[in-house]
Amino acid sequence: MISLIFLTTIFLIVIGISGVLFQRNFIKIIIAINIIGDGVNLFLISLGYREGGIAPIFTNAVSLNMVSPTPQALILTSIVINLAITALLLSLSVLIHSSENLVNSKKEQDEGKPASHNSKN
Amino acid sequence: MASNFIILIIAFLFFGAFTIALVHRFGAKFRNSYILSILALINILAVLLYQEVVSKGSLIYTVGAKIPSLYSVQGFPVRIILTADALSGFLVLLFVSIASLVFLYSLQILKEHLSLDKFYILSFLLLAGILGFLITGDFFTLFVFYEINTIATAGLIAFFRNKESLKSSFNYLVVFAIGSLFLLLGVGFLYGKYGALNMVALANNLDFLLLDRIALVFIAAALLLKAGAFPFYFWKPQTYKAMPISAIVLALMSSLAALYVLFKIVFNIFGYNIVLGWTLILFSILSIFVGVFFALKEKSIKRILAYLAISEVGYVILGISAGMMMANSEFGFMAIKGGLFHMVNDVLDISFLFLLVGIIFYISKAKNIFEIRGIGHKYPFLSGLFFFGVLAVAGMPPLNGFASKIIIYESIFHLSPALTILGIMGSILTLAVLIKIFAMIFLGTPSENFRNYKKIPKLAVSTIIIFAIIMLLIGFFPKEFTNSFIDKGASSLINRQDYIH
Amino acid sequence: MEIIWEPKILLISFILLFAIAYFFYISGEKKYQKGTSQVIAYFSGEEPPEVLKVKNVYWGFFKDFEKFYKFLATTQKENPNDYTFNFVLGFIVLFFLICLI
Repeated sequence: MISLIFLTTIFLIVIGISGVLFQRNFIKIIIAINIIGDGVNLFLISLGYREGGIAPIFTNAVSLNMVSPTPQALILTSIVINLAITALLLSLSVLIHSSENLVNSKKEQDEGKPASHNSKN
Repeated sequence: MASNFIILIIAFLFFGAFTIALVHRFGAKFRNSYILSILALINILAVLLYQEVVSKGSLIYTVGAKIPSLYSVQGFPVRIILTADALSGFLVLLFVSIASLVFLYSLQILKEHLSLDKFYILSFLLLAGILGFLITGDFFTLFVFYEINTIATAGLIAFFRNKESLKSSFNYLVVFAIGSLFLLLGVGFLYGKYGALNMVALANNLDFLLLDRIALVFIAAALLLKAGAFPFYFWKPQTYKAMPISAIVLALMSSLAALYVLFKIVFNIFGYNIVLGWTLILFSILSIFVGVFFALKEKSIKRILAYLAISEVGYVILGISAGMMMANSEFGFMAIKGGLFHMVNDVLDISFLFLLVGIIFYISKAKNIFEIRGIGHKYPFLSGLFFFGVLAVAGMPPLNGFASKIIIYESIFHLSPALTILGIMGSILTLAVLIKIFAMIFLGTPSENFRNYKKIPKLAVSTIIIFAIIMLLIGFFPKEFTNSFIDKGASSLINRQDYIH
Repeated sequence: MEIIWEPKILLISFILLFAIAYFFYISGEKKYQKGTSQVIAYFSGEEPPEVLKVKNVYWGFFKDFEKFYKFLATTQKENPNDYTFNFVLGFIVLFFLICLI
């Protein structure tokens, strides 16, 4: 019996990977990478859950049964790193667009046909 | 005291990277001397660190606490630990010295480029990431340094902003973003099962059930992607074609650092396993052949040399994983020694060829090297150096390629003779590729006039000559080299009990 | 096998081999007619193309492996979709080999 969180994680990761595999617009590929990152972060947070736990803050704590704070530190780092990668990917796609009007990774454009600005796939 | 050097090396590199932009305001000469002084400092620290590690055993540095222990005062089992054992100390020293030579080279070759300070910032970050890979003792630090490497390399790929470089950088970053997320997923599996992240704690507790195997697959896929081995070799040619030449050497070093981390994890944490060993041997043989097979038909010399780099990485994996399979015999130890020796020789030889090609591009300002034909008559010294490099990669006796390759061939013969035969066939095809490119560039009737060629840059050629002297020395005295540097490294890779302490 | 690692022996054997090769070179035919059929190489099998540049010097190899190279050229494109497809394919192969065997 697989719990709901793991199903959601697997679902998000599979959607993200299929997005990167089949989408051709650069922006959609970047969104798909973000979705994979969200899935992995969700998986990491869910590892720290304790039944009936509260937020892990010591001052004015109601009870001492707390959720584990280690995965929260891990995913903070991971969110920041994914942000940096997204920023770099977006700036690269802006540069590619300004240098040759290309926002797609379409196969015909790999062979050198000129691309128009709003080319439909 | 010496265990502080582990983090001081990386701290100085980061500090230097971020202050180059400030120093650049004061002029180019000041910036160059600043870069050289930081590199000299890092070299001294690396030498001292290696001496300490050799005399006293592994060093451990815990970030943020005075006492290097697994548990903090309140009893939390999660610390950030950096360790340096004999093999990683040696690799830090090797990579730092090669990187200093490459920076000297790029001071002259890239002198006229406008945004040179950004190149140095990115290169220092990449070097810090590579050294961080080698000294990490903790899976999460591994993930962070993996990401630093990815981002710095992506910046370096897109450094010359032509269309090809930008597209290559985008492709590289997409596939490596997915790879690093897979690494994080694997680390998350291990954390979920054992509740600890540092490698020593996991080495104590690990058993080899299905969940651990799944975590190993995720982590190994991400690390093999960075190393450029068989199923994941596709990003290397286009990436190496777009980068500036000094950055290609750094990218090569980061591939080998990823291989070191993979073997450290497999040997010390997961233990010996037959299926994993044969899988790695299969992948290594396929990388050797894929490398030479594609290289024969390519049209751009940076792509050809990138395929040769894939092939040499295949030899390294072949040696070390064959040694893992024959774990308890003397030949296993010899195979691991051969693989590590070949790691050193590989980075020296392939960097030598790349740097020489960089000089040829510099003096001729050609876009595509196959427009250049027959320059051997005007520049006999350069053609002699290139032939020296060809002999070293192909494995001729007095040079270093022969020494490491024959150790690998001899020792894996006892595992299975077919592997030796396949390795020798790969070596013959490598020679075919190298002879072809040597003949195309340097022999034949000269195709153009040499009037608009620049003078040979003396500083760059002298760094290449230093490479050649090191290769010659290692080739003539291989026994002294392995005894003093590689034996301890290989034994620290094997002794699992030693590591757990 | 230990004898390979002595540098003096390597140097001496190198000089010896070079002397033998030079001896063979000296004792060849000194007089030959250049333009006649004495200097044409003998090809058994496929005919080489007319103008043989250095970049085509492995023409026999390429002719034999032509279908294989055509197949490989279709797998190597340079867009991010194909990169991730190769990565996921390699990952599935690795997964199958390690986890399910």
